[in-house]
Amino acid sequence: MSIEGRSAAVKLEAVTKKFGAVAAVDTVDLLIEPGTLVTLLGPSGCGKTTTLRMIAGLEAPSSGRVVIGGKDVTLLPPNERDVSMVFQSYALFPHMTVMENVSYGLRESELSRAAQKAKAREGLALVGLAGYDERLPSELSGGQQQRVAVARALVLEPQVLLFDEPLSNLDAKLRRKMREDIREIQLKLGLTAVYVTHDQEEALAVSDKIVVMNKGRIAQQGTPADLYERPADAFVADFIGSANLVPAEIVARDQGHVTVALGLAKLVLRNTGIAGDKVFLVIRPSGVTLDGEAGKTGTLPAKVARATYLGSHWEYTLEAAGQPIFVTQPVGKRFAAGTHVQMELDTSQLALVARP
Amino acid sequence: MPALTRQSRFILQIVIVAALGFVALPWYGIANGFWSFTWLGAPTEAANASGILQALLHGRIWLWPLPLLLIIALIDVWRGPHARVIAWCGGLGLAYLLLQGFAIGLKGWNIAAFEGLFGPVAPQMGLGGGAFIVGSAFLLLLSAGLALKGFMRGDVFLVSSIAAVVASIGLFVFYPVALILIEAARDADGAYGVGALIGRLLNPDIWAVTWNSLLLAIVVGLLTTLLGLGFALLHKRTQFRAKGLLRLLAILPIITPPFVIGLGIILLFGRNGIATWMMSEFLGIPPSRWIYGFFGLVLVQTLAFTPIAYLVLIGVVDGISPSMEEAARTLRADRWRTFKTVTWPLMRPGIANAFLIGFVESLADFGNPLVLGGNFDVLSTDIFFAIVGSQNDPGHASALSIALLFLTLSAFVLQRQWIGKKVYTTISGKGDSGLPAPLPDGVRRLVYWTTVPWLAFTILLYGIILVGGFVKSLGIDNRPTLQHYITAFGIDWTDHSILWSGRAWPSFFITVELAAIAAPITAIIGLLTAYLLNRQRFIGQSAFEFITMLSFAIPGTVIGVSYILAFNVPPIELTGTGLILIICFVFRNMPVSIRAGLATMAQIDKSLDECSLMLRHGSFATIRRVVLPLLRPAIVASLVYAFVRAITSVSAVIFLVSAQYNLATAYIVGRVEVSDFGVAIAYSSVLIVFMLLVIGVIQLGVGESRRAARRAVPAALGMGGATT
Repeated sequence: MSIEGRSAAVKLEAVTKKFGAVAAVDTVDLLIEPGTLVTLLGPSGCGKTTTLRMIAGLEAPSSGRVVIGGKDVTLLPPNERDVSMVFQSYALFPHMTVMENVSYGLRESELSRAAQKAKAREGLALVGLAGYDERLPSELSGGQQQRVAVARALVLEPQVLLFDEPLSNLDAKLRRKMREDIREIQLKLGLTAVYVTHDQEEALAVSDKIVVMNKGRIAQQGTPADLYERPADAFVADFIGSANLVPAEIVARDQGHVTVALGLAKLVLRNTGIAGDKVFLVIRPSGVTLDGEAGKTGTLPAKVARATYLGSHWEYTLEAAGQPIFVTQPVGKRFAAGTHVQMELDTSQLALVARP
Repeated sequence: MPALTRQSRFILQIVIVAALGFVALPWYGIANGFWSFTWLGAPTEAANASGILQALLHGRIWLWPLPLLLIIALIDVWRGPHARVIAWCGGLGLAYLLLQGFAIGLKGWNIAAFEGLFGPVAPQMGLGGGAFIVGSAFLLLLSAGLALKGFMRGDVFLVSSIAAVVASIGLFVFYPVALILIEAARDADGAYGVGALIGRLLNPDIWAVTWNSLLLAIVVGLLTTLLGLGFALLHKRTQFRAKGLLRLLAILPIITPPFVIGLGIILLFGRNGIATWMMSEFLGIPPSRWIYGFFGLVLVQTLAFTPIAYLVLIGVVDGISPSMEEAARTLRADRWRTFKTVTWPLMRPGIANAFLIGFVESLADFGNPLVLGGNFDVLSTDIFFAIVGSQNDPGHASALSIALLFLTLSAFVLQRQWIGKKVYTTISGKGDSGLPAPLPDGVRRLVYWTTVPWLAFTILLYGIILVGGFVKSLGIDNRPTLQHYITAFGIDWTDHSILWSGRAWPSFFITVELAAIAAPITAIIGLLTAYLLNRQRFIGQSAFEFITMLSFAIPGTVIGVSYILAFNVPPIELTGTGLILIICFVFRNMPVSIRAGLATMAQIDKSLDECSLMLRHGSFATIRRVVLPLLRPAIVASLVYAFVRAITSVSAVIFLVSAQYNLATAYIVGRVEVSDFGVAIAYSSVLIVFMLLVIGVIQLGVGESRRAARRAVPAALGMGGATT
């Protein structure tokens, strides 16, 4: 007996959830392909957890349909859907041992008691907790509790596995390790997984596809690289990776390129089909090289307002074109606060978004 | 026929059970009680016949629509089932059952006009076992129909639970209380009118008594709050050594029948009391009856209810995070300034809450005014005398009840609307480091000088009560004797068996038996209600919450009167049975069970339930495997509390006892009324010791969750509200 993935697609069709007059989730359409890990990312209150809970069946949509594996499950309670979930708080039953926790979901199944145990052991082995059967949750570390929660969800071989901010209670180092383990198991079993987080780094690291949500709507969806390199709007640009949003004007455009004026400098960028001339130039902190010498083309004069040494790199806050710009630089060269510098922008790391 | 879904199977089961109830069980109440099974002897007689036989043989043809609705439901299961049809069958069946019960009574039509319309009908008695089963089945059908419609996400168990709780609270709390209003509007000739109601409410007698009650309640509320605060500060903010004594003080009011303190006071300050004798002997103050009346009541109620204020305020004092006070100290505030600007304002809403609880307790108190009121009339006892005395004026009793209800409900609304939103203290699971600031010297001295003598006085009283049972007549003839105990609890050995010859045994056994039956029912209904309130979201939930909480605020005396009004005549005829006492216990004590459940559930992470649902368990399996095991402390607290309060309650049950079902407290009150203090005290002492033993045994039996249970009992009590 082994644990297998039986992945199915999840489809949300114009799903809306209202709490009173407020729409927590507003006409969301979403297709999650079988066998992929899709992250719902956004600030708190953006509707990502509510969306997840509607897939789980813990909330009923006010309107719209939820389809899992081709079956309309909108009105089905959670226990009659083929999904399982890893909770933010792990939700391990404190009065049951690890074994009882992991086999809990199998108790209502047709399996014999022995088969349930065997399957639960399988699940524990998969997350690296073989031999912890008789412990109580209170006797486990945070990371181990997290693994038990994952095993408990896995042994049901659900069509869809849901994660609700599963790593937010762990410290930074453990978080990195756990997210790699979760991704590895998901790929190995070919699971369909929906993963909610507010941590953009975590989202970039684990996802096949990221869905950025804002105020109950989907702001943009795509691969991690899509979102980082071609953000659809200022919100996404700001939320994925840190970014400086600098107001600029498009002064000329042709087939393949646009020319952007920023102060006195002019930059030629790839034309992504942006409409309107008022734009924000998205400058990533790593897309800037600082130089002490003046006069190069395509550079911007700036003044160092603050310099912070962080061991692996420097962080600078610059004053340029009348506004603060945050950049990172490799150690080696050093610019003290108050020095005048030239910013050289790497055009491949620049993006444009509309300025309302 | 298509394969049955789970819902169809459930509906089918209900219909079958209803059919059995209609065919096989006696439709009307049996004179000797259902459980006597005497009806099995002559099952076709008019008194014993089942519903179908009543309709066939005894001319009660108006019962036919009930089976008809069941058949419609059955056919619909075959074809569907359709949510709307099932819901209507259930709703109509229930409504029709109640309607025919109210329309046709002991003398035929209750409303004369119907006789002209439909012709004369055979009279009918109160509904019995068969009708109860059929009625419950209709309620479940209604629930199943609503669940099919998608209510509560289609969970039949949850819908049925909500329906059952709403129906039982409606039937046993709101229906009787509503009858009080109607009764007060009936004039001397039996006609109903607003004029009669207004006339009664404007009666100066009622205003005078209401004023007495209000004055007493305000004074007692203030005194108990001050003393309670003193004790809470003594416990939490001083180095007081004997904190074990304080814990005893906290548990005493739970296990003491409410009038026992009054008895102790009589033994001390009554005309033949010890203190009275000493004062006349040494100070030359002649014995008088000053203790009977306002001052005596203030003294005795303050003694009785200070522990409750203490329990409430201990939570308030505890809830003030020491780091707040430390922050104030680091901001250059001295001790006094910290107390005045931080500690005191943070406590203020909690103190107002404690005042209101003392206020309501005093209003609702019945036992102490009964033994100690003298000429000082208060509402609760006046209600009693209006019903059982020579007056026998239910209308007057109802008007008095309305006045009492108005006062307690006002306090309740104040508590919820105003204070509920202002309480700053929160219980977080996180430990708060830091040490509470010591009290300013003046405050500390004041606390010691008020609480310690009061504590000593309380202990003295209980001592006198325990000793009083072992002397001939305390204060008059202090020779030791066992006579009172032998009179009350004598046991003779005859050749073949034990003879319980003591006069107290019958009431003692009945009390324990009924309390033991009521306790688990109380816990189940209370905890189920708490589960629905805390764990589920549904349409009408805030209304549901409001009506369950409202039953907190109804004084026992009012419940007693209302039960007499509601359950003395068909369709629900319960007076004189043990059942009415059980029902009374259940709905009087259920609010505390709800509170205990809510408090415990608030500490159980909601995602545990959700997780269980995700792991393929339905809501019933989730309750059984996850919620109940984690709820054990609340279950123990509810059981203990419900059992003990059932034994000690007086106010409501004193209206409902009968010769066959006499209760311990009613028996003791009877002894006090004929000044047989010896037996009364002996019996009270036995009750107190018995309940201490019961609590001890239960806590031992529960093993490891003992600590949690002990914490939960006072916590639940601290939220009591009107409980006497």
